[in-house]
Amino acid sequence: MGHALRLAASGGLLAAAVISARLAGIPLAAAAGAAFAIHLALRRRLRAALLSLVPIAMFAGVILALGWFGGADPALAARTIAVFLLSTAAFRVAPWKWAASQLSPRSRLYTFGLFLLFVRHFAEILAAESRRTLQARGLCVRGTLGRGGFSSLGWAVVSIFRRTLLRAERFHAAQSLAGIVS
Amino acid sequence: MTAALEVSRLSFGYGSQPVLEDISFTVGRNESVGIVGANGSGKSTLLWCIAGLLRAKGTVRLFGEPSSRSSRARLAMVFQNPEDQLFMPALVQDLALPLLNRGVEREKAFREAGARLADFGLEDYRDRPAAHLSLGQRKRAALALALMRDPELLLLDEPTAELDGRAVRLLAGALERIPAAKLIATHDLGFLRRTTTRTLLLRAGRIAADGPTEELLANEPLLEQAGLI
Repeated sequence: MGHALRLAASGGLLAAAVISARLAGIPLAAAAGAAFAIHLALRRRLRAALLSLVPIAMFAGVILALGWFGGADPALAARTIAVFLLSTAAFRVAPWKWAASQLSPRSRLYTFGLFLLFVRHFAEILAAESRRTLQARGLCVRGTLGRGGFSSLGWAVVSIFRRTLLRAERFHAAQSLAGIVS
Repeated sequence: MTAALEVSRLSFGYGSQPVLEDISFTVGRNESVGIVGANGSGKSTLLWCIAGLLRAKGTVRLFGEPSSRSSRARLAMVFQNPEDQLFMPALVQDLALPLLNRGVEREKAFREAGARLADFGLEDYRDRPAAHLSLGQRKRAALALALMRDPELLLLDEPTAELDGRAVRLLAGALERIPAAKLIATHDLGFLRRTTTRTLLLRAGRIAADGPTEELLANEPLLEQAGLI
């Protein structure tokens, strides 16, 4: 796919994510379904695609439960999933290498472009840290929902946040020393 | 000629927990000095203090001037984890970025970045992201990136951590060719012997010994006391 096409596809997916955040009823269900289909198509492997959905599904479940107790709009959980899937797809489709090669410090978009590249890099770090921590948990806990399952999951999430903060601090330190950020 | 680095009575702690206490030493221009110590002895923290990333008590002077943004522009650091430094979608873009930031023309910046990658045997990987390289290659790429600033003082934090023998040899060879003062924090004694002439031994945040590397590494009781062997 050419750069222009990938850029357009990425922009289209982001626009769809924004629109999904405003939808309700059947259009929202259709948007969530389309987002899921795009996600599956991009991941290629069904198992990996479904596994990558577990954290966001859990997050949406919590939102749904809170909404049920508090009487909030139940569509919020479906919106969360649709927006997440469409943004992730936009992230994967975007022509990063080409966009980075167009960056020029003289351009007005330079700071914004660098910011997006930082976000992209950090999302990868977060994903790698999460994968590693959850794999380590999987090796220690017999049956993810068995004895110690929930407490170990809680500690794993805390550990992901702690490690992510540490990585963010180091990343910022390295970029600040290199004169990329102040 | 003034020293590249002068550290005087430097102390640092997290809350009431001291990490570094009363550290003083100098590094001459073009001198290669090792910092050795067991895990948690304060090696990385010392490098972070010198680089101005942590605020410590005491004085750090770089090339005869107090540590400031302009004097720190003459130093570069290679972090323990190369992913902290390399984040662009292609390696050559990572290396070109500091030049572009300094106002160098795009074509020249990319040409110099490509040449530097070739110096480090990474020319075949110029269009790949760092994440697709082996750890040894990423470490060399991080070193190449640090050199894009033409530093006069190079700080290296655990450069051989998790590297195999061949990668360590390649890294040591690359370091030998760099005409800058070097401060290398490691607990890899073989690498220290290869790349430094003088070594500081840190124990519980204090300098327990400062002397020629060969002499210090021959002192087994001292190394044993420091938890290094």
